[in-house]
Amino acid sequence: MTSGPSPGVPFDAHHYMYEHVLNVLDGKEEPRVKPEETLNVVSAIEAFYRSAEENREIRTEDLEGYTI
Amino acid sequence: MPHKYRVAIIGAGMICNAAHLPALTPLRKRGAVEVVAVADIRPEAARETAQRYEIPAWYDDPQKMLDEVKPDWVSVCTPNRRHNLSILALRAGANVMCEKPLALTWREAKEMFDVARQEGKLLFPCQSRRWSPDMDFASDVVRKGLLGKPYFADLSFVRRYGIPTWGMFHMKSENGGGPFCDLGVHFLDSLLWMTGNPRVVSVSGSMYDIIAQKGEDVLLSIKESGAAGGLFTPRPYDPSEFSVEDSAMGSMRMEGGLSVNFKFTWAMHQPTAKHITICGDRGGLDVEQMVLYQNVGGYQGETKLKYFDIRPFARGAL
Repeated sequence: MTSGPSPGVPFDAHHYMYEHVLNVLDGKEEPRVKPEETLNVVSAIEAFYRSAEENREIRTEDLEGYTI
Repeated sequence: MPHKYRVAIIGAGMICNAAHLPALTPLRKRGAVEVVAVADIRPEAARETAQRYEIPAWYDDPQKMLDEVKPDWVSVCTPNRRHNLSILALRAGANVMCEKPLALTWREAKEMFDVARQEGKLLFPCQSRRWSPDMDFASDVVRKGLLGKPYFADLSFVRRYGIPTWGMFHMKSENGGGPFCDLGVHFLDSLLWMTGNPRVVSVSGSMYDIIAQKGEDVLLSIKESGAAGGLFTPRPYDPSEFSVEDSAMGSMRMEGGLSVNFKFTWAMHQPTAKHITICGDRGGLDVEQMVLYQNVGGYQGETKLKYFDIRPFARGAL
């Protein structure tokens, strides 16, 4: 096994995130990343690619299956 | 005695080896988890990862791993198009961490969360950037109301010449998209999180692949291409496979009046930048420089905010 983390190592945010998820699974913290937040981000990704491909503005409400 | 979780990993490439397994190391050392298996469709990547991190089993078939090992925690570290392997892991009874972006379409993401809810398991998208010092700082400034109500943000995550040439990031069939998926998702997720998740109403964007198709100026630094922790069983790069954008730019509108300009590139003839500006009615914030712009008694005030990362990892306490 490689040595433990130290300040300044790459991807240090993953260390916090794993500690957080462990605490979530142990029932000590609420998940910081929520489904409605990720759905919002994914709607922007989908709308961006459609917009770039179709050369026009895309409204998220026009995405397949999208509900608020 | 806390439960000892049995963790398995799907996808044994760079982010698995450079981020996930190093982050799991302290959890393993104190007995909170054990890493029981790793799977990758490239057997050499799975085998080398298992050897590197002392993992007892490796597989070239994720479903076989799930069936045989029955993990209760799975981390999905595959290219974006395979993030739906999360569904197999949830159905097999595991809690799942999945690398970002969780999915490329709203419908796919919704299905993944629906499965998690049906199975009563956690599906956790790895929006790791929320824990980085700059976003920790910026979210604190925004939440304390130092900017008032934000109505404009400018997001620039620009690599001058840093196309990832060691995995499958550049292949539409595997990754779905380029820097908007890879870099933009971090800045956008963090901004939405710190501003209270205003609903994205519309997006107007453009994308190009001009530098990538020229095949020059593609990669000057492995670190700038996103692999600051090194490469692990890299895959040879073939420029003719490049089928995503090398640059993405445009604007979007959120409910409540926030508008956002964005620029996310792997390759473009301009300076490398990780620049975020957030402007509200009371003040503006340059996140990278940690400078707060405000009117102070009729003067143009520029306040340097000194940020001290006192979280456990920064103190070396994890």
